[in-house]
Amino acid sequence: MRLYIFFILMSPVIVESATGKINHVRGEVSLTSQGKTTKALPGTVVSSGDNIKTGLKSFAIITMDDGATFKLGIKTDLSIPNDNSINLNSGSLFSKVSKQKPNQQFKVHTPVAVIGVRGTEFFTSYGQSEDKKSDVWMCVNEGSVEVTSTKGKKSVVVNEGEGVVIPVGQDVTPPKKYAWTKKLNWNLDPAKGEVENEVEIKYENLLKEDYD
Amino acid sequence: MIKFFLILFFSSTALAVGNVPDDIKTTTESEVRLRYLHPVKQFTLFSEIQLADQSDGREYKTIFLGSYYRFFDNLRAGLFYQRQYGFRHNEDWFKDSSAVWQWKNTEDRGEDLAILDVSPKFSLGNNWTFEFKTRYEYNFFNSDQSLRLRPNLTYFWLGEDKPIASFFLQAEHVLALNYGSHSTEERWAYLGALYHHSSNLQYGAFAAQKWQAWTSTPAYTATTGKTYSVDANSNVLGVMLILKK
Repeated sequence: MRLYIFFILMSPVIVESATGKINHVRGEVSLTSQGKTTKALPGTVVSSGDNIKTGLKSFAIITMDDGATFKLGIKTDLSIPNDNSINLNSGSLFSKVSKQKPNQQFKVHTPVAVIGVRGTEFFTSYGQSEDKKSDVWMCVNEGSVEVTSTKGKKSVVVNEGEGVVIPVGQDVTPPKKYAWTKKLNWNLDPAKGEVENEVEIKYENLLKEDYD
Repeated sequence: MIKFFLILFFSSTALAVGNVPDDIKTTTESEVRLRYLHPVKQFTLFSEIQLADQSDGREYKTIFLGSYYRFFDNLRAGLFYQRQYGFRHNEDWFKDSSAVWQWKNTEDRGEDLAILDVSPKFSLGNNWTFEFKTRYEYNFFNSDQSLRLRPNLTYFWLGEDKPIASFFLQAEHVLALNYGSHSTEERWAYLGALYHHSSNLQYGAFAAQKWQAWTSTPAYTATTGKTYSVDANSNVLGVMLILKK
């Protein structure tokens, strides 16, 4: 009886824990787990609370137990919290998320936007360079993605081949077709060919187009 | 007797005409503007050389140096120094030693200006921006103070990941804060286009209509006992070359 009451009391605080594995590493990739930082190697298990960082000319591919796959680009800082989501603190991230349960979304959190998906392939970049560090850039290769700025005024659905920019403190720009979205290296499987992405992230912010 | 009055009438008319700069005709002027922008974090170092062939064949030359600071994507402000030659002020209409009123040659006269710029800019949809440039100008040569207001509407023709060309429409008003007798001393309307050869190189051309008011100075009024206000109009054709780091 005492054990039964204990389980009843504890059940609300039991949260879903995410685990996965580092599949592929190139260059300098570190893993911080329970306060200890080590060099990330293929086969290393990652779980909720861990933080993964890539350096210059470096990238890593992680597959979670639920089938979601992530490719971290250069100079990327990614955290895995205790729920169905990840935090992109800086850098760039290719995400391939398998179909979610009804009424459930996988979420990529950035400081200026939340990206919610039910099953799709998309790319997110945040703070890739000094002068763009405040903005999030996101484009979709397959399926559709719902993007909400943390300012939270509106949500925008971004479809295949489209991209959006979320300037800090502002709403999401209207989705727009970007042909170069297709030029990104979307391959997340080293067995199927080169996985390194060499396409530089570019987007036009017309407010910064100054000529006088 | 009649002959005497006719001589007196024509000579007085000729003298009156000669007293004011009323021989200003609509002219076509040309300009060349070369700019270099060098962003360093939130700063953008800015330099410009402007060469203009103005009315009366007068050459106007400036060099403009300083920096903008970007507070937000849609707000930047800057502090600049300008050195100019060939600029004409109301005071440059003077009576020379042979008692003839004429414009002073200012081509070799250098003037220094300090300029404070505030330029808010707004997005209007995917392809348009609207900027309202406001410049306070202080001329150390004669302590003239001006406020230059320039709303600017720009349309960007966008390619895959960068603008291909931009087209702009500007209206510029120069308000005299402590000189002249008009609140607006100079007005410009610009229509121009820039080809974005790359993110580092843009070039283009513009056409402008310039209106300027020449007004009598206290020295003129003290000498002649009269005042005047004369408008001058010019059509300006210019080319621009912009280099960015």
